[in-house]
Amino acid sequence: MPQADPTLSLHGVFRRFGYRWAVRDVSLEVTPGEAVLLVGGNGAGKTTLLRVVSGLLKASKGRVERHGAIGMVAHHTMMYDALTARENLRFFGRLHGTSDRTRMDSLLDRMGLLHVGDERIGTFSRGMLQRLAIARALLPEPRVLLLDEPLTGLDDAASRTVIEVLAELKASRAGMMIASHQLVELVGSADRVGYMVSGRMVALEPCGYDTLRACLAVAGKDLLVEQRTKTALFSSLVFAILVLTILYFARDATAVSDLDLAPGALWVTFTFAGMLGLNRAFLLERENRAVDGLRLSPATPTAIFLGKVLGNLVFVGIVELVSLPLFILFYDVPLWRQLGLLLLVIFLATTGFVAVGTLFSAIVVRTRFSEVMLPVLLLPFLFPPIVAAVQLTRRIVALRPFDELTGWLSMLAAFVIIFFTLSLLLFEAILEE
Amino acid sequence: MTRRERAIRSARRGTVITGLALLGLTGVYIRALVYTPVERLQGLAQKIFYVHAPAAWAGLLAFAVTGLLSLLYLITRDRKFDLVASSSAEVGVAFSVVMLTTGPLWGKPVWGTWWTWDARLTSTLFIFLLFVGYLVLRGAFNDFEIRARFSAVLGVMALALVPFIHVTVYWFRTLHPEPVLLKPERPSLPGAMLTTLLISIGVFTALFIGFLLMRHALTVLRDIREEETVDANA
Repeated sequence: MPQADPTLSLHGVFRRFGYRWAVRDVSLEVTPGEAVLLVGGNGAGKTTLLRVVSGLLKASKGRVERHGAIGMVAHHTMMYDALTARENLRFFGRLHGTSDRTRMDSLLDRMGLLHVGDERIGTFSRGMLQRLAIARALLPEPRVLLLDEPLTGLDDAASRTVIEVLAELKASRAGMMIASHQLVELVGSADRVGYMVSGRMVALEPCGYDTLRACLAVAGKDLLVEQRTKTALFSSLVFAILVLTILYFARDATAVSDLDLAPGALWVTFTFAGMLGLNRAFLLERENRAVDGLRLSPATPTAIFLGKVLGNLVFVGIVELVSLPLFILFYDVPLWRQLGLLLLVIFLATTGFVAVGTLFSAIVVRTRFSEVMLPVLLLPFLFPPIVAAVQLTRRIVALRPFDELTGWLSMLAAFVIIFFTLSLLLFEAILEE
Repeated sequence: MTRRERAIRSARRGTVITGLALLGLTGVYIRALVYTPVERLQGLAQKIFYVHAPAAWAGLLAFAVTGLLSLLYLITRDRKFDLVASSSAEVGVAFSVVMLTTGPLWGKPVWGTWWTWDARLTSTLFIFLLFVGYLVLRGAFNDFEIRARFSAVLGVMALALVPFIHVTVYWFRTLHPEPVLLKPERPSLPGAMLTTLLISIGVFTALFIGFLLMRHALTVLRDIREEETVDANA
């Protein structure tokens, strides 16, 4: 697909105030329907860059090409407190050469301000003023909208309205540049994130890549910590071997054959050994309040959850892969011919187990007795997938035809899909303070 | 009307409904023992069915209410949904205890054993343990906002789990009787037994509503007292 012509182009833009460079050598293009989120600390140059792009400030060096009208929402409303909302819009409409009152009313309506259209804006709350400022910025039907901290001072409902409006603007092919501290709220609305430090744009990255990178970083960190300490891995492995051994010797060999005992023994081992590992998943984040570092970063709750799940999946997977040959050896199970099928069952059941377990470990880590609480909450949820996994393993071990597996296999897959999605969606509620 | 007055009015309503339902329960016992025919194979032991099955219904109703209100809490963050959800879970645990104790009492003369690892019994036990876990979790937090949010997450997850437990039950070999009421064909229970069962279900539903109103009123009054303590210490 050919790249659309940009609505905005910046070529090596600099801006200085006296002896201080506020913006240094920024180049970027914004295409129709694209939103670029600018992030960085106070004094990083975000606001100055937006003011240069808007034309309020001139670039000291470099060139800004604007292909169409520009709308801007800044810290201040740029409107008159003594005038009503309608009068303000009418005034700015006239300046832009439009007197379409229906459009003004529809903008007020979209911002939830129609009922206060005839009230002086001096009486408005911060949220109402911000929404009115967006309505004013949209009057000239801009091809590029510039927003400086658009969510500051807004409550949850007002923030949601603004985020919805941004999504509509994106859908109508308007380009956007947004400077904000509220990365978690706005990163979902953006296509690219530009990181600004001391006036320079040090990185400009697609958001999708960022999520994947954050996810891999969280998983990598968990595994690195485990590699350094090795406590959870070794205790889980020793536990798994002990369970396999004790169950073998606890049975009455004259009444129960190896093959009858094997499926249950395998899944009891996997479940309890896995749970030992899950318990530590969020304990790591509570040390030195590392979780606050995660929340302050641009990583979304989705990326953090997926990263924790991936880390746990690798950890539990290692315990299972080491236990499986021992299980085949101890219980003399003829698994080699159907090993692929068994690995599929193990993967599905483990993924469901780990997704729910990761969510619950995030819950219980905030309690005083987290080691005890996790099994109490998690085990009832494991009843359907573990019964399904045991039933499937029983049939695989007995070399039953594939037709006999499809029902339980579908149920297991449905469990994984539904509970993985649900855990992902609910994780954000757990991460809030 | 203040919040305290509304809670007291709710408690009074709950007491009246519970009183009427207990009278109804007496009627159910009389009807079950005197006017409903004895089941041919199971004998008198089958009479427990008129308490066991409606208690199971009331327990599941309570847990469904907890799940749905947990979802509403997560959407609206309105504390009243959380308070009703937690009250409903407590009432549900009480009904589940009735179901889990009457089950073995029925099972011993009919199956010859107090407990069997039948899938439905096991899954019911697991749902019961799940909601005990819900109540234990609530007790682990002092901050009411975190308590509400975390237990709502658990409530929603539990609601989604019920269909899976249902499927597991039906696919696993089971000793339990097949459903006699909720099934695609017409109910297979004889007319007099069906009428007694339906009356009992109605009575247990009224008991659930009565218990819920009273428990919720107590929860709200405790909440008001905690808020007053916090305000006094401010």
